[in-house]
Amino acid sequence: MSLSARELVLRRGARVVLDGVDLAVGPGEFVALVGPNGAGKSSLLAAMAGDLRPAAGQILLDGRPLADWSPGERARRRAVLPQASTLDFPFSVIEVVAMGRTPYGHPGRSDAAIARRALALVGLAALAGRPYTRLSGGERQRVHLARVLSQVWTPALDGQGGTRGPASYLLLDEPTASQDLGSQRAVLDSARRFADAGGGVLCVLHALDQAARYADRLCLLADQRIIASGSAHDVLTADALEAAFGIPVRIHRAPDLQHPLVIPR
Amino acid sequence: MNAAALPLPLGRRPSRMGLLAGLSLLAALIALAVGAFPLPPAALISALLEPLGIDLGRHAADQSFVLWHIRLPRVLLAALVGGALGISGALSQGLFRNPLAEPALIGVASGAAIGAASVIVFAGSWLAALPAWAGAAALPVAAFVGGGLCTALVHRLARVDGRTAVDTMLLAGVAINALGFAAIGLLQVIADDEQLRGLTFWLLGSLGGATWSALAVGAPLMLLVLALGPLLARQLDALLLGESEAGHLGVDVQRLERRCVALIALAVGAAVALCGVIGFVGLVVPHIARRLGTVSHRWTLPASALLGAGLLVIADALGRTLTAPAELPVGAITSLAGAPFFLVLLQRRSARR
Repeated sequence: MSLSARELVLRRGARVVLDGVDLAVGPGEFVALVGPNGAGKSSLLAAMAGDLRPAAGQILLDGRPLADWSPGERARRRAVLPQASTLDFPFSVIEVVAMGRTPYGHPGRSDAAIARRALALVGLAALAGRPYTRLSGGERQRVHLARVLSQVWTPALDGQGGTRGPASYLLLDEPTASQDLGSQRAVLDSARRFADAGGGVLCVLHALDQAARYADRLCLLADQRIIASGSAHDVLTADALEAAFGIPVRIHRAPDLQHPLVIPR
Repeated sequence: MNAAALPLPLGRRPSRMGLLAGLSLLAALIALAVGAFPLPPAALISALLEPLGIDLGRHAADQSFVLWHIRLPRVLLAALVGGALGISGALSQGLFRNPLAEPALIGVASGAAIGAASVIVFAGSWLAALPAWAGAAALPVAAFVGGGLCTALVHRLARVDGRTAVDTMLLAGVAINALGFAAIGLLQVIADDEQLRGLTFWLLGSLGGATWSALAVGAPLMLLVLALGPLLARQLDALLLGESEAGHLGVDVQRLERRCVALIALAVGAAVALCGVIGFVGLVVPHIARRLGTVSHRWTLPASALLGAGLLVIADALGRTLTAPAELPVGAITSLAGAPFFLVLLQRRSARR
């Protein structure tokens, strides 16, 4: 039971974007992809989402190649949050969230209820009736997070009733980019909660301190490969980060902090 | 925000939809009554009920004839064509994810216009040699085939690496429309006076050709689109998020886009084949529908169909009465009313942002 990449090779045109990557996200796990721009983080995420066809190797969902899943089946087991969405029609916020229930056929009352619960989970229940086009950028991103949460909803997310199926996966591409502090925290808290409720999270993050704080496991990508993988203490080392980012860094470990701090020198 | 005010079940507005349907029906009843030969309400109802075996005895034979052979097929055709154009407009705006899109952008209208104009200008002498029914069928068939071919061409031009690129399709549609316009201009130059009159009348759109046999041909096609279009509502809503987002939600985007193009081509092809080019209904009606309800296609698609039907019935009734006994082409009325209305909508829209 996992979403995994096996000896994955990705090409874009003649360029090799990823060269032999192995990665698995299991139920209950929050995995952060970190690394410099152009290292292939977003490409890896897109491949795990099924958007990019591997040049070699494969993507497996519960041991079965992702390409063998029907679009509907796949959509009920994994949701993808892009960096930004382009929606220019004034839907109400709750309607946008309810779009997450598209893979479940004709909409019913339970779908509306799940949309509400997802919106409450990201802290925007009060905006349900507002036109989406009038929201701020940060609010929009949280609405889309609620949308993808409602797509792979599991009742354990808010502790209310409902039956529980096999674990689902949430793929987030820099969900905190261009967000203010409060919004960043709301987004990552919700993602963490999804993992704690038994789902798997794969999240591209630029901020190393966020990755260290929220993720169970960090994967450091550089030069088309994963060069380090493990807990924040294992991955956030001066040697690995200097190799990846090409600048000298200092690692600050303080007894009152649960994770190391990375300070560029 | 109280919970009761939220849409539940999502996006449904049953009462407002019923109101729209009722208003459209009322418009149709009024349209049946007015015209060069007015039918008083009592006579209208009496003549309508006659085939059901209910004899109110309030109408004369000529009134019954006008209703059943002239007025009713015409109002039904207006409703069907208006509904088909309205839903095609909503489908196009969803397909192109652009509220300024209209059905003509897939090339169907200009293709149909070229087909019909060619028949009017070139085929006069051959048609005279054919039996009457075949001569009458040549124009709508040519229009329908022309519309289909042109749509296929635009769709083909927009294919890149086996995928349809919707933005390329939009630009290809603009180019093909310009080409079609030029071709019709050339045909107008070489047409003689009588052909020119036929051409102009057809390009302005008219419901004057409404007969039961025209309905028998066009109605099944347009009803098919009216029945199938709303089934795409949820997927079209998801498509507004973007193609890859819709794909993540389990929507087969390529299949959805092909279905949209096919439905629009069927509806507009049939409408143009029977009535000529009727402008602005497809562009404006979905905007009015959105303002009356929500932007979700679950409302917009059926509401645009009802609204398009009602509005075209009214426009045609105006065309028949304003200058009676002469007739104004219905396409001229829809464009005259639609264009300024659309500009007002645009103004309001930019003011709100």
